Amino acid sequence: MENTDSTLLEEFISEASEHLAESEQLLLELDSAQDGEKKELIDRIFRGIHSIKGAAGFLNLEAINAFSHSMENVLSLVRSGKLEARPDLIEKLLQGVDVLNKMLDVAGKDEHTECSALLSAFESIVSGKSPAAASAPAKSLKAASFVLTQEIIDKLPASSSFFYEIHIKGNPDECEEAFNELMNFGQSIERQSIAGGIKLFFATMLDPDMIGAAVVTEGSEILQLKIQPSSSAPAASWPSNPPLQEAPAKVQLTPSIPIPAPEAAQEAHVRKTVRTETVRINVEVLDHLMNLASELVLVRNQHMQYFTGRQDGMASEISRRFNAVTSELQNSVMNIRMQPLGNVFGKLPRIVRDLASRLNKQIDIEIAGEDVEVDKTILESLADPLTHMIRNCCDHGIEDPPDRVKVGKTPGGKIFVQARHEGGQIIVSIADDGKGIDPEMIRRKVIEKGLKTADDLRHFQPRQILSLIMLPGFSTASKVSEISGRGVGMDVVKSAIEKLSGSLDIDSIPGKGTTLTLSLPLTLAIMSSLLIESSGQRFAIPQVNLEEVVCLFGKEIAGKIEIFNGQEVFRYHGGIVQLVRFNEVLRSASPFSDAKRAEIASSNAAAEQNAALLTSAGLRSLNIAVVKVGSRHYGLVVDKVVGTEEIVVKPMHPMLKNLKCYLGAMILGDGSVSMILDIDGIGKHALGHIHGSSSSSVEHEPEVIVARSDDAQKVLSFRSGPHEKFAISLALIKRVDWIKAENIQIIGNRRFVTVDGVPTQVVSLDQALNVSPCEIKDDMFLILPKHIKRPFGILASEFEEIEDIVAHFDSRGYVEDGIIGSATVGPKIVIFPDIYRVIEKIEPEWFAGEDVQKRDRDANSKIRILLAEDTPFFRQLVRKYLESDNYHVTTAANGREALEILGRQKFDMLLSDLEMPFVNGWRLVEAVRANPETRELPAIALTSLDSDHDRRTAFQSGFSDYIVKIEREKFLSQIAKFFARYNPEKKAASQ
Amino acid sequence: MKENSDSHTQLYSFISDGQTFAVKANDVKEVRSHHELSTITPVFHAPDIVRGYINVRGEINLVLDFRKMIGNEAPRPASEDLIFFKESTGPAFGILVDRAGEIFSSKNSDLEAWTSAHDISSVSGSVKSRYTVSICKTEKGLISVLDPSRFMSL
Repeated sequence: MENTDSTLLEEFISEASEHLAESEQLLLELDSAQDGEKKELIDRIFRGIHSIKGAAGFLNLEAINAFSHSMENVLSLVRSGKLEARPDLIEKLLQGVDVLNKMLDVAGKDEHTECSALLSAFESIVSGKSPAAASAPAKSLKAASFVLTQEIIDKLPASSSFFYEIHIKGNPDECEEAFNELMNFGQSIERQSIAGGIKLFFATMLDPDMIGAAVVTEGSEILQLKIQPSSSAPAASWPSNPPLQEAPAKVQLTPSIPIPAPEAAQEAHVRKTVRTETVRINVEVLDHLMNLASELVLVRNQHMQYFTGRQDGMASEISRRFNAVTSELQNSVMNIRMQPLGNVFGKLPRIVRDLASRLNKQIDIEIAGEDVEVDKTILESLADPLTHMIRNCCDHGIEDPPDRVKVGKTPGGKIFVQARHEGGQIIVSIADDGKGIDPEMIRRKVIEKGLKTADDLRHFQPRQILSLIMLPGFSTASKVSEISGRGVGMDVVKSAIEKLSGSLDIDSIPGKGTTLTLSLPLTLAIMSSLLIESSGQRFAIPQVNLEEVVCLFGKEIAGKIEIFNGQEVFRYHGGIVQLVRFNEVLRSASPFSDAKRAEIASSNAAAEQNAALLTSAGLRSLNIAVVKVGSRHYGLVVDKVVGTEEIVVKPMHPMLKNLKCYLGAMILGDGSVSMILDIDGIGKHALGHIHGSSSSSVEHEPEVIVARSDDAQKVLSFRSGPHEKFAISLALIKRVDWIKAENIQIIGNRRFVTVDGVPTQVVSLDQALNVSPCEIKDDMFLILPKHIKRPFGILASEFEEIEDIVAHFDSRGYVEDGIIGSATVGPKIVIFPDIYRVIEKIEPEWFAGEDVQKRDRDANSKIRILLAEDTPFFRQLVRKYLESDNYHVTTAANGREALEILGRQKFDMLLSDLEMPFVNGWRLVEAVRANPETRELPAIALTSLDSDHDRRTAFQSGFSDYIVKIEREKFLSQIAKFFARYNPEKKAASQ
Repeated sequence: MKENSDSHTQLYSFISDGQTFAVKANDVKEVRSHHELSTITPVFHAPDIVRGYINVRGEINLVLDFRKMIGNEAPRPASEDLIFFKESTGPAFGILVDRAGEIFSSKNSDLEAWTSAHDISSVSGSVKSRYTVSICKTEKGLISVLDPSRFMSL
């Protein structure tokens, strides 16, 4: 190997790996291919292995060369039809691919890969079938008859490694045909007629073993010509040919093996089309390029900030172009790193096939969305978790064929892997139609293994129970199997996914199957973070570490924070979380001692008590970012929550590397530098090192929707029964009236009260929801919703306050029909009832016979709607509404994202909010109309803006309709009417 | 430094605490007025001589406070200047000085290498001797020539 350039070796390894990956794929396809397709598949596999062999020979990688050579021999028999591609042979060839892969891993190192068994298997296949063994006598030429003139030397192509003198015998037609065949494999340097045929000076890539297969006529003779590289100029440029140098006198002669003409012609054709134009680039160069592009984006942001509002025609024109070019550049650079998920998905069929045969199961895998692209780093880290999940599906999910038949399923199970873009993330779902996961069994196991107590689990929803299989040390297989391992299952997968800033969700219906859903960011180079302010400076908390932002108000502060063991703690989701005052952390460069902690705790507690006494309640607030890292979990008290920001992480300056509280630095949109916090480091600084298990940690589901200060919702919070706190978005409330309980009249089984002279039906939430009964007091409140046809009001026993909910809106928490979701405000869980659904449940006949029945839910499932809405609350609400009518909904968080999604997928309707960040609704629809691809897409504005002016501008921008947010029934029937109106037009247009 | 008496070395001068210092002009990347730049972000927990981070054309630079480095306790002037050094002297950093000066040329014969022997003679008052590589003899007096690559050694 001393002469082998290491870059050449790298090049070889990466190229050979690609060939092997392709060959593996093709071998699997070969398994189920029609006869007609087989030929081409075999050809492509053959070519792949052949190029590996050639290059390995060139690099003196003897083991690879010899092994691929024996595989190639087998393949050439299959190719010529002498051997049938039966499953057992394909299995052998697949093993061969594995061996070659292993050899590649150690290529250039002094390591031996065990392959003798397979090698001899290949050899015996070949010797059983090979015509050499079948006694065809070798025909050879005694001596070369061409004279190697300078003219010939000049004509020798540099790409050919081998040269032959070939004598083709036969009548002129046969000779011509054979000659044309040969031209597919190389080129003729000289051609002369001889008695009974022609003779050629032939230059080719085919080595002496292969040349025989290329010469199609009986009675042809071949002689390899050795051209010794000399020191003369033209010869020096020829590729060296080591085997020939070693044995210059060796003449390789092989019998001719006829190949049917069409096949060879086809191969030559395919060879031309398979080649793609690519350039290999070092990843470092790419990363640097990406950093520069990211920087340019920041410069652009600063520039735009500076120039916004300046009325200078030329300057704004330049700015506009600068802006556009920068965006495009960033996109292009990002795209370079993007690779299709197919690169990872491609390995899955093989895994499934192997496992199925080992487990004696029948498993089919179906893959969709291979062309969805993700960042290279993510793609690489995704391979292992994905493989693990697929293994789990095969091992635990899909039942044995007899078991499946017993429960009325087909004997063969199915795994469906799908990737898609959604809301700026990549969603990968892995679904099987196996036996599903039984929550009861999980609950039992968790308690049995002592991972949780029965008490802990009492309030868990079935879905939360399912997520427990991701606890470390949990394995559901009753037998430890070789395939899924020993309890290092889903927790490893989960942490791998979380490392990629992604999340993992499990859903399962016992008996029907399991669906694992991965949500991944598009790229890691840009990290999303929460900007906070403390001590007058802004800092970024990585979104991965952020669990939730909690805001305590007024008297809550003193009430919820306690001192425990000289440490401030607060109650959170039924658990206790330690509090870290970030200002104190910044003030002290050395880690806190116990005494320091106690001092901070008591001085703050005193301060809070004083504040509670001095200031009127409600004015003061305390922002707590609940953060997590590993098993540590604490509340970071910050001065202010600024908002989210996408950041490019820069490492700390070497001089400051020893500062443990920072992960790095970054440049904000306004050009100033901010520090990125190391949540682990801060935890150690303020709380010391973790000893043992932290009793305070509560298992939380990954966040669905992340807190953002501009997501703040004005909500009215109130109580009905004694146990729950409810909230309704102010946007949905007309007003709140104070009523006397004695004024409520009971008519039949309904309650009414007169509001503004109109009899209004009074409903309480416990009539529709599984919540505690409404307390009837002398003074009650009645919440009157907007957008309703019949007057009704929701009874509240206690009116709490109007507040901004900055916290995330968690749809995975408490879920019930009639509830949009729940959120955590301070230490409490607040339930958001869907007031329109509530009234529908109480008075179904109000809605019966109306548009509900006219809506064709089955047809709706084919209708794809893109919903662009920036507020997570409304995104969730509208999505739920649409999905309840069976529409297929994809969401985008803003107009820019919507445009990206529109560029990739087709939709039947765009439903867009007007006020959105980045690209607002008006700009969005203008862009949609400007693009010939989407010009005809129906677009409906969905907004809370309700003036004539707003309507006018919306229609002017290109919206086809205008819906004011949002009453469920009215909204859905408007959508349905719109489709009814739109579809006939569409049909007419297409005719 | 080649001691060729005929050749010259380009130096860049700056003033801190009323004293003039110099660095080799070749080591200087750029000089900025503090007010041209966005504010310096303090880095909590960093050593005393670290003033903070600053963004210079998309690159995050560490800013050291030269006053702190030489132990100058005098009140800060209303405006200060920033001198940034080339990567050859250390990763992206600069120093905050009272006032940036100018490029001047010094005959190599006027430069005298700094040795520990000079330590006692206190040529430039309170300058920490470890930053100094040579003494430049000018008409106006002696100037310490500093080596920026030593600035970050604490």
